[in-house]
Amino acid sequence: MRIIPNSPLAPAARGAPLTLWIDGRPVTAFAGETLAAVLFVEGRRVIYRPAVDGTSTRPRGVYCGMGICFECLVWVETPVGTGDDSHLRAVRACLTPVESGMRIHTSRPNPSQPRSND
Amino acid sequence: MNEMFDLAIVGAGPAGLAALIAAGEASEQRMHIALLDNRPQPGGQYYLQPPLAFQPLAFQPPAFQPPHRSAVHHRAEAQAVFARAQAIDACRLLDTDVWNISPLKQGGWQLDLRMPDGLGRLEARGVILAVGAYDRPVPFPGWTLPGVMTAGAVQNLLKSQGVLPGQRIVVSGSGPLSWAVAANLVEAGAHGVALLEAAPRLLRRALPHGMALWGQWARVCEGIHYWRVLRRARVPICVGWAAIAAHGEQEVRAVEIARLAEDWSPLAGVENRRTLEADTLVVGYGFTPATQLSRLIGCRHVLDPSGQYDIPVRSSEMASSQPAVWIVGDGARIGGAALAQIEGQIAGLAAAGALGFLKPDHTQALINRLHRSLRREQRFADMLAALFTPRAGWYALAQEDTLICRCEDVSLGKIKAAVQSGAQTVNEVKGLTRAGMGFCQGRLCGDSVARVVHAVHRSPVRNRSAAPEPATPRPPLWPLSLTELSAPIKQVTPACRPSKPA
Repeated sequence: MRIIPNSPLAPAARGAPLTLWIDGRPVTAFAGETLAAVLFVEGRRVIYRPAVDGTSTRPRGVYCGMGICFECLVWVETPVGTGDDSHLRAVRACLTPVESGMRIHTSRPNPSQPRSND
Repeated sequence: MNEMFDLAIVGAGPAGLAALIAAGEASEQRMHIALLDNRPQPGGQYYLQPPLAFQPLAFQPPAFQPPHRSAVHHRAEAQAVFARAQAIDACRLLDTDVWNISPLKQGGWQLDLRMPDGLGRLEARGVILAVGAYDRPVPFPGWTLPGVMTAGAVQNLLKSQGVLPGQRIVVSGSGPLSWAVAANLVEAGAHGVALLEAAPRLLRRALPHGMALWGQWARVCEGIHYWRVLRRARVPICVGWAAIAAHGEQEVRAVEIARLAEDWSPLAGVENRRTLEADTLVVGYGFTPATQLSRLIGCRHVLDPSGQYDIPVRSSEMASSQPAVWIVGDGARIGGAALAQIEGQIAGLAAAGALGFLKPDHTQALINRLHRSLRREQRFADMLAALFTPRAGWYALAQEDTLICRCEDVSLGKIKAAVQSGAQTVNEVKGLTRAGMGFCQGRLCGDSVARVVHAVHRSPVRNRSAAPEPATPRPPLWPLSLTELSAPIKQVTPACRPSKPA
């Protein structure tokens, strides 16, 4: 939940509204917000990480909130045509600011799955 | 030599900014300084700033009245510090991780960087490390569940992002920060907040320390403000209680709390246990200095008197055991922002003097004056440490199946098995179990593993009785992607324009 405007802790302003996709669903956010903040606002704070054995996933979420623990890693689709074949980039949600049109995944998408197109 | 910086300051929090200001303002000739920080804006966790996109105009007056005098004071102080720092001519490298530091053959240090647009490196004659600390990780059953987060994480969400982490929130911690976080959560509109202050018999133990509060009026006022906010909102405050487990399938649904004994171990018996329904658990039991860089470059470390963590050995001028390396602030010893700022000033002056930008007698006079305020702040820091440092019982919460290494899914049971099968050091446990090999590079599990090693062997390692040596830090201190590694490396020079790829 974003802090209500009359709270003494509410920010003086937010950035311009923009749209990004979380697990395929469009979400409105404001420039300057981090992916972690948007995940909390959307009530999607559970991130499914592949377990080390590779066969299952385990629920994790933002723990340290300052880039130390890497527990909030989410997957971002890299834009088509940037020459990056890796398709997906893992980023720390707590440090990464939202960008318009960003497509993020809270669980690792199947690599064989075709890249989503606008 | 004009390719080289005179001084690189790693960390732009209170300590790093104070060092920049002191060195920059006192220097008699132009000093080439690089200021580095991993966040996009200076200020660190103490002068936490909202993102740039939230500030449509520079120096726009705040749209609301700050809630109390200390907040007004804090903001004014931050603006003053930023203004003075801004006036110093320095190459500012923000959003930049320092992932390695190594000595140069001709003297000085090379810093390897990850910048927003790729890898880089710079050379500097001297280095001030002002890297700060992070919330001390204490493993307990359920601590990996989404919804369990540190006090620092909640502060970031509230104060920088303007976002509440949940609604029914249990804040469990020790020390002033958890009181501040609980009050901030109430002010931000959370409906069900409960505050647990773990330190047992706090009031009785605090009395002998009363004199350390003398002269700390701003802090006393701030404390009273938080207390009033919590009282007005009828927030339950339980002193001597703490969260010992989080329950839930996919995320936190309930928090188990317990009354603590003198050694901080949870007391048995139904009258000493409760279960609270909650969607978020905030934990904050003090801080751990980020000593990865200082250990990487071979500075000598000893165990802090509190017995909780390693600290670099420093002279009265904040010089480490390595040439031309000074270490200041919470990254050297936990003492808070005020102490960090004084240490930063001392190191800034000492560095300017040692590098030939100040007359030696002048430097010494300035530093001597600072040592008086240093002692006052140190007394206050010692009081906080005496009252709020967790004791041995607190580190026995984890069960056999509780994960100690969150990155590589290594449970307490597996670590114990490795130690019992012969691992004598943290490094050997790492080799056997992968604990500490993940993305966080052992920042979260290192101390816990050291405690297991010590508990089994009880052998003083490196002549220390309390805990064995932490795992050896190896570069890169932050994970780098293959894409980053395959791109050309930019050389950053005092002209502050990355030169052609080397």
